[in-house]
Amino acid sequence: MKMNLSKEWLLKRAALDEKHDISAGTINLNKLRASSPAKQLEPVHGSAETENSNPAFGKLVNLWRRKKGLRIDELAEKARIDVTELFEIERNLHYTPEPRTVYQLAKTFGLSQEKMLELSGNLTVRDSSLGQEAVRFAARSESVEKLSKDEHRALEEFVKFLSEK
Amino acid sequence: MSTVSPVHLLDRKSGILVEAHLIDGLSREDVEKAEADWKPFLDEHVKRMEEAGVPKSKLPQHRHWNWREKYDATEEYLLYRMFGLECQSQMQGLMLALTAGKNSQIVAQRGKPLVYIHFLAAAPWNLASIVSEPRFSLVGSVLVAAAIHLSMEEEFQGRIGLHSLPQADNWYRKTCGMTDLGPDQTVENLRYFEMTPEQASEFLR
Amino acid sequence: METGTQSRKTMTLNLTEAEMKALDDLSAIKDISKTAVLRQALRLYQMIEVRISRGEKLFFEHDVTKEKAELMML
Repeated sequence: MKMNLSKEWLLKRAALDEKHDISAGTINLNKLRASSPAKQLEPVHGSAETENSNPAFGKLVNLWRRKKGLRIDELAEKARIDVTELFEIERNLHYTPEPRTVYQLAKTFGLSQEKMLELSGNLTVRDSSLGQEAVRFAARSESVEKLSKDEHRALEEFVKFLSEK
Repeated sequence: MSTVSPVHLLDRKSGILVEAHLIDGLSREDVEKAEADWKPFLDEHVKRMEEAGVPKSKLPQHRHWNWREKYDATEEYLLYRMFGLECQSQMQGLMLALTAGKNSQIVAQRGKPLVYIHFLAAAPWNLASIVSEPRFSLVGSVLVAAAIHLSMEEEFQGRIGLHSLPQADNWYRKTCGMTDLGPDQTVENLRYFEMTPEQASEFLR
Repeated sequence: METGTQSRKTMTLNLTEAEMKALDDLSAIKDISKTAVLRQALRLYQMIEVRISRGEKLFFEHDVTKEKAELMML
């Protein structure tokens, strides 16, 4: 885009601009972010399945990251997501991430976007089998530095399930 | 791909125009550097203002904005354009503009497309509400001028629209000569302003 | 002098009469060239496509009744 502003114009404007703080835009970022229609049309009420699916999402991200030998900031960089949000995902079991973040992680992990959205609490799918699988996975994973054999196996089975279309 | 146009800002201390650059199409690195420069300065000054008992209404209303988040949310879309105003190796202002999907709400030109300024802010050291001696003037004017030029490039004849943060209402209404369409209930009750082609011409004159 | 100008490529478009008429009408309504209309269409289509691929749906909402109608998507 071409723009040419004369010095005369600039000096004229400078006199008018004195002591004004110029800004525009909403306080809330949500106007920019992808909204989640499932949240509006099918509110996610507390239920055994939905309450348990968030911890599974955080655990999945944590285990996948550790399996790849990545630090949190490295995964954030790789997936092009906010590092603060990634901390929240892994540490706050009741945190619901933004749909874009989930999409980026699904792309990075090579997993089904829809299942990841459902797992993260962004989407409700009727008659879904994901809830049970998520509970099973969450129950089998413990938080240790290196992945144990059990964690490895749990992760592989869950990833296989999430990869199915 | 970004384009760079030479512009000037007014150095308030010396009272002279200094060289600056308008960058159309910022990179993630540009935005990260701007955040890295702006945030600590803003946080420190806001903290001092809060400790001094300054009421919330007087604090900069965009103090929680995260430009990297805005970049990440929009960089893959053709319809968003992010601009930066760089001077003395620092970003002095940022603007995120939307080039499709927004039409004029003014009755006489309803339905005509415009460039919508989604977000616009000057660097915190340029804000009179935060520092007693802002470093540069003209950040707002140059960015609004850029939005008008973008609108003309898009064949929208200079039409622009924006929701003003309350501290800037008077500037858009009186200094820029924009049409005030009043508070918008769908957008946090912020006042919505538009510039017609005639007002855009007048602004650039 | 501006640096780093974006280069543009030219394309020939084959449209039916009905499509050409729609393009002409939009150009007149929006008071922009046919090229500008198609640019707008491309930008909106790209955005819709990205968001649909993330599992979102596109709706129209009636301003007064707030009734939602899903846009049949591609």
